[in-house]
Amino acid sequence: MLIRDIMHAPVITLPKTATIRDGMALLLKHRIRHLPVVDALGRLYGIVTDRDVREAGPSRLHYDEDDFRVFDEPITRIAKTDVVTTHPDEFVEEAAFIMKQYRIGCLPVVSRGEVVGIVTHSDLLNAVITLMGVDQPSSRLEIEVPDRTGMIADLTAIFKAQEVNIVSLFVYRGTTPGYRRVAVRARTMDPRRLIASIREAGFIIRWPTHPDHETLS
Amino acid sequence: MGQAVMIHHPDIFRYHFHDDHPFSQRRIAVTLDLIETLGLIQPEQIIPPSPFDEAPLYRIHGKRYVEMVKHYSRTLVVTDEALDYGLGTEDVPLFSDMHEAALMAVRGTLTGAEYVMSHPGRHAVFLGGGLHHAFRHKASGFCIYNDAAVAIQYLLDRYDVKVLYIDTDAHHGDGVQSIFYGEPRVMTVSLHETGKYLFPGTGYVYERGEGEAVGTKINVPLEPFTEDDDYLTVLEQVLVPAFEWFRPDVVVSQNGVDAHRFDPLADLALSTYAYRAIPKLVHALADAYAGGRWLALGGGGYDVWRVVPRAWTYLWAEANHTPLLDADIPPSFIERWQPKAPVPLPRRLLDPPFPPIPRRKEIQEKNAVVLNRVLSFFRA
Repeated sequence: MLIRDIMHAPVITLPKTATIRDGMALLLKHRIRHLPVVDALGRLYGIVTDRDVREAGPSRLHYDEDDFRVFDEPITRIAKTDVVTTHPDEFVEEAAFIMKQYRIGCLPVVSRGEVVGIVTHSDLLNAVITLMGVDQPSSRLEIEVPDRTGMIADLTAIFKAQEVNIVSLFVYRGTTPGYRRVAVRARTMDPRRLIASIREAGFIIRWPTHPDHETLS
Repeated sequence: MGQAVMIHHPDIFRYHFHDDHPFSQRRIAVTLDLIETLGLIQPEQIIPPSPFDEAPLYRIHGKRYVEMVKHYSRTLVVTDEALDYGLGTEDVPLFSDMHEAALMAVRGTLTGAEYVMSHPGRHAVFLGGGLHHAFRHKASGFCIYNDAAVAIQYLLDRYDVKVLYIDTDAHHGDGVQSIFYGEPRVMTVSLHETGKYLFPGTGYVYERGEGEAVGTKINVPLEPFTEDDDYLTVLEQVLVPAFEWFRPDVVVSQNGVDAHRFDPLADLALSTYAYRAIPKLVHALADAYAGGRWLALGGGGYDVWRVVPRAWTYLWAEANHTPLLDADIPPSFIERWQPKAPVPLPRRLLDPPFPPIPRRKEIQEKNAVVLNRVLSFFRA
């Protein structure tokens, strides 16, 4: 999954010539938190967040009419210019890693010098939900297979033989040394025959399990 | 006696994929025999589905999809086109007259909906309904037409009422929920084993409806191996505020009984005690809030010998105002069916206590977290 698949585009931007007041208005109007600031050619100059704008404003405790003039100052006064960006062809996990590393809430997407989109924390979370989630009715199986070449092929051959479509499949490090854990979503409401064949082939089923079996073991 | 009708016709048994398929409406024959043997029903209480035309069906299902169902009911040849509509899969294999069989279920549920509207304070039970996985354009999870959705839409169209749909099947009521996801006049409440593990994989707390309907879709995903007490506490704590907030005019319940511990397709751990208590609660709330307009449907239930007949007997007894505590299963019933059953038939309506589930505390804790999240929406 690539950034271009999940980014917001077209992106709402603020011209470099705008005031802080303009920035505040735009953030409020679109109910967004991040605003890339661009020059006349659409190239990234910097970024402002709702927090930057709020902090630029006068104190809420001490009222002085003159203080409000701060909003007429140029946005360039508060925009952060050292911006970490990403590219439309970046993988989503890479972008997630960068956001975590720099502890930032969003990444402008830049291609050929131009801001073409933006991704935020919640876009990446949505991507995870889409990747791990369920877009078709299906049942989950958890299987342990030996960590050897061809095991996934052997396993999925069983699904094919049973004519059960696989909706999603993850392979990850399990708890048993020398084994990989496979999480499969199979498009059936009745996986019993499938499970029996998987067991018969020598793989270990970790889910579904039965409580009465837990009691015995 | 008799406060309810049982909608039934032997043609319902034609909803039968093949002999090795876990879902077959032939289980209803065994259930009705138990109800009759216990003397809980008079012949005149059994009414057949009315001959509704197909118009209400098209309010929910696409014309093309219905055409496909009709077509493949005749050809019985699986093609890629059929598979695109969810037909001819392992779960929904083709069988002859599947359109007619599925339509019969729709008619039965429509008959029940019409009955509860025209007979104030009386209830209707249709065990051949509750096929909650069917989507507008796709068959899924043993379900071809979504009879409950068709009947709910019929109620909206004809009576302009608010309908509360309560789904206690072990599987999430995904079809009904998705069909009415943006419809504020329909509230759906589904308690089910969490989609993390079980089919269909949806039914998370955050699925709450869209647009004007936000908040009218309630999901309570439960941990595998949830037991009676925990389940019933959660159900009551969710249903009472749901009724109070939504104030339905009509209640439609889907009474799948596959959350029982014996059920081979799901992992919840209820006993028939829960299946006595669930309809009792729904009944009381329907009487208190919805003028007693309550249509009870069937649903899942794959332990057809030990669970379905007893659980649905409790459902009928409750709807019929002849509630049962516990009772012996009549010996004549056991004599009739034991030779056909591959497992020993139970001797009592209530299950004896099961051994406690290991990790019970942890399961209860997780369910409490889910419950709190659901209840927080009512407080918001």
